[in-house]
Amino acid sequence: MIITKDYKMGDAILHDPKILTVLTRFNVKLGFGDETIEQICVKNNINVDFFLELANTFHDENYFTENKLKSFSLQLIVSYLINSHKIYVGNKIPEIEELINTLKYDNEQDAKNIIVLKKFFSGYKDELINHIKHEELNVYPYILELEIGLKNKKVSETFFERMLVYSASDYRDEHSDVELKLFDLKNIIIKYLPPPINFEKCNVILNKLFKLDEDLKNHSKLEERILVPNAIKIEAELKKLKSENKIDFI
Amino acid sequence: MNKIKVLIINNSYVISSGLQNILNEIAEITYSNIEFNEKNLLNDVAKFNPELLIINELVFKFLKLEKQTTTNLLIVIGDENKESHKYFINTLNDNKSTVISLIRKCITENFEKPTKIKNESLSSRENEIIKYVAIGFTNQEIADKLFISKYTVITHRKNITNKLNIKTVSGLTVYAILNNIIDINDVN
Repeated sequence: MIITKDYKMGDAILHDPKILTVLTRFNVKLGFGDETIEQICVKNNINVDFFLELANTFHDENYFTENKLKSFSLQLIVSYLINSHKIYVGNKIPEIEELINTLKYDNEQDAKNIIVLKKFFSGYKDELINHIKHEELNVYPYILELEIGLKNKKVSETFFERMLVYSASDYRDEHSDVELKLFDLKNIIIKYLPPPINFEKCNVILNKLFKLDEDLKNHSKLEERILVPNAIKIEAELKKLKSENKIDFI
Repeated sequence: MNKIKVLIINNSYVISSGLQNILNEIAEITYSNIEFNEKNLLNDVAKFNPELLIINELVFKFLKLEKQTTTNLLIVIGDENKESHKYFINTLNDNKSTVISLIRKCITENFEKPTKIKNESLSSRENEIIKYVAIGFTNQEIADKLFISKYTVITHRKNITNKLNIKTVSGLTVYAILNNIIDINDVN
């Protein structure tokens, strides 16, 4: 099903709760009544088309329409990505961490299992946070400056020089093994962790890990297939403008 | 077990998604789906390097006309079996179980059965290697310790990763501690 703006927000979420994931990124509160997606978006100052593209991407993994998403401003995409980061760090990771802390064994000897699992998860968390920090402090500001530079046909000389050294395509190659660690964690819990007394908590953890994984995949899809190609395009345009002397240096 | 790689070449969305729906039920295979592009057909096929091709009659005729022979095993789909293909799916009449049994027949006639379930537990040598990996030794250090070449260590590590399906060093460390291969205090 393709979600359109005339669809009632409440119905859309009942149809696919994944749309809720998108809504949380825009800080929208529940209690929609009979209002349509368009009405809710307008009320909350959200670009309707952008919301629909994201909702459809989450809803159907085959949907991803790169051409349409590429027409949105990078500013819009970046602020969405930053909101997602906040939810990973502020909600999703702490929730899983708390659950891991509740695991219990009835003998001393097995208590090490929890220690080692906690340690692994905190290693994963650190790596994820570092990755996010790097994006927010280096990559995103760079990409946004590209966009502004092209719009105003004006960039600083240092920025232009930096662009010649560091390209958004380098960032694409930087994607670390955060994903692999999450994969390992799922596998360890499924196959190798001796069941604790409250083993049902493991199922909850696992479910959350699967959801997080899916969410992160959508996240990197946006980065790798929309953000980076767009930035590379702008880099090329700026270089072309420079060669034609159509750009001002400040 | 390695899955059999299948490539569907077909332009009809309805037929492709129907086929994929059915292929999802056959655990032994993994598939990709591409559209038929005359210019790139052979390149595309080479890129995916499939063991089994599912194509429609249009593609089959194209291959014949161009005298292109692919070494791939073929299942042809269409609404009429004019060429009397060995493996043929009739898109108008075949029901689900007919299609599944045809694909199964094609698999059993052409691919070896996995002999028996592979022993996934680690050998004693691999246990030794994982111990050092988990503690944080480099490949070279492990090689020196065990008097083997660095490349042998790398091969062992590949086998360990395949057997356990754990891809990161810290994941292997967790495995080693859970299985008492190393003590938690061995890791800093």
